[in-house]
Amino acid sequence: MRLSKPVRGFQVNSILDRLAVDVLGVLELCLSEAPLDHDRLQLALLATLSRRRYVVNLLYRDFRRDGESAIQRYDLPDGTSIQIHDQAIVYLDKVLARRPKLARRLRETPGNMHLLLGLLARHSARGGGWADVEVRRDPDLGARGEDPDFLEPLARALAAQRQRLGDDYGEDSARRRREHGPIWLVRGACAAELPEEMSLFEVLEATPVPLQADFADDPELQRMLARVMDSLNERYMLLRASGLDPDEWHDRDEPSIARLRELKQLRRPAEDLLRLQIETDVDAAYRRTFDELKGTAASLGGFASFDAFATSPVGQAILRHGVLSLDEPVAGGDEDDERARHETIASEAPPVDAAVAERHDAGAWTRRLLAAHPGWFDPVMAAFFTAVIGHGRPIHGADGEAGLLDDLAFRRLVRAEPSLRDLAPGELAEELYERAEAIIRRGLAEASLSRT
Amino acid sequence: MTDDKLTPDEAEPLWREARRRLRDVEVEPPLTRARLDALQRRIGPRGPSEDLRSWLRRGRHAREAPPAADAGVIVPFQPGRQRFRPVSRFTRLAADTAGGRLELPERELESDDGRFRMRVRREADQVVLELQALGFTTDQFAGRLVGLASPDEEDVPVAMVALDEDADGSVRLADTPELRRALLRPVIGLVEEA
Repeated sequence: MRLSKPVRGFQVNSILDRLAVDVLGVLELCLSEAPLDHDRLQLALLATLSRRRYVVNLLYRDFRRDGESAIQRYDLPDGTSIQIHDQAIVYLDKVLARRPKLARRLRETPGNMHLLLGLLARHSARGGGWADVEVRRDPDLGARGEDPDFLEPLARALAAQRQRLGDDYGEDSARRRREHGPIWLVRGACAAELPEEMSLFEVLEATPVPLQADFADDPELQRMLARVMDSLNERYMLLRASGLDPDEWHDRDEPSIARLRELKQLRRPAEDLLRLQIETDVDAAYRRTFDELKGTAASLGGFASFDAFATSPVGQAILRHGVLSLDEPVAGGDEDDERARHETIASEAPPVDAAVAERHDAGAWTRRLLAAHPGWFDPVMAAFFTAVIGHGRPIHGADGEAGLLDDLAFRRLVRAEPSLRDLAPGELAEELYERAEAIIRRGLAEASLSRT
Repeated sequence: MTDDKLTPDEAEPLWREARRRLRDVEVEPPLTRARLDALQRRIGPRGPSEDLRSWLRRGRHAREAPPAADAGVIVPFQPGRQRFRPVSRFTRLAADTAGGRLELPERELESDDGRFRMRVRREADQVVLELQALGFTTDQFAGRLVGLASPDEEDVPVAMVALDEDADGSVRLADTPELRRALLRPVIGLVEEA
């Protein structure tokens, strides 16, 4: 799946949309076979989350650890390797495995997880009326149907999940259940009750695999998966933006989502004050920001004063993160970081810089950058920049599409470059990425210097 | 659009856009079924009550289990340290290569000089390639490492096959356009130390 163009109905404009596309790819790898291989599913998700794109744009960055120590690398026989990042494990464990509560606004409508199961089940390749599956609350329905295709894995998995959950679900679910009945998955003459709350893994566990080969092309399923990822991710994103380690803070009730939304506003202005040397001390920068943001309100993030904040475990963790992140050039200062941490998919406006680029045709704006700095680009980097950055060509080929590394002319350029020619494709891609990153950093620094 | 000199006000948003796009670039090779299979073999099954981290750590120190399939493993070519010397070529009938799509050969192929036979089949999202040296050349190629290249790029093989003592060998590869292109008119050669 390629993200450089609109993919499968997704409006790919945030890191979460991209994650939804990639998770869909993982589901294609894992739900087209029966029975579901849980190890395989988890490894595929971990490998996906550990891709550079997500390490940079989605996962929490623990500044106490260097990048390498957070990674486990597995060499594969084809000469490539797959890495699994520590924070990907946290994300899988805390975010993807979470059972979301029913949204208060929902009345008789089941939650997104329940609807996702219904949408997946519709694509079962086991035959026998799965295409007409329905998921709904119904006070009058009872469990029924002994069809083996319905019982295994779906009805049995759901029964086990209901037993595990017991009545340990939210008040909103309990109220809706009283008012509108339990949630049922209905297939023809068969009906099975769904647990009031389900995790993504529980949905996949109950899915009647194998699914049809083209199941991932269903736009309704795509949109639902994107909504599920969005709701699962919300707390994690806010913790990351605030500087609180999700491994430690994700499963706690406090700070609440509402308070995190307030607390996350502290970091950017405080880091700006430090960067511009208006303040030289982290505590002072955060104090000033806290007081300005709080204004005349009674509290900010649940704290009546900066001193109350700074002496609380939450405040201490945020300030500690603030100190550590200052040593890292990538921390803060990037409007892109904030864009990547947005909280909803649907409401996001196109990024401002994209609008700038759209005014130029795809090749022309990269040509202008190249022409302005001919000495910065050797032939390899000029070709890489034009193809990958300018035209969105993928580095590696897949699904019958050629990538830049498959291009004969580009390979000739690489072979003529002694520092690159002996690298394996994975190493070469890394090296090209890093060289492009260095050029862009230099360009930004120069532009910024010229303006001041 | 003119290629006039960029002012800092013009350059900055373009550099920012370049950075935004770079961050979206997939650096890693795609997670194909074959790569996921290999990872799973490498890590091994998770114990019934094994913690996720312990499982991954254990897998990291484990040796990879042999592939379940009948095909040999892929050996990467190292251009600086190895040399590829073409020895034999295959010509596929025009019917095989007609049309824009890079079709895999449907039937068994024999090299133009009759020294090699090759069979290609697709399994899931992979291509299994079987190679056999024939007749008197068996002794010449037994136990040798051979490569398969495209005639357009004869110095770098896209696949390598370790031949056994009967000069037979097979390899399982990702189904890429590069491989399919090489299989249009494959060149077989010996891989030797540079």
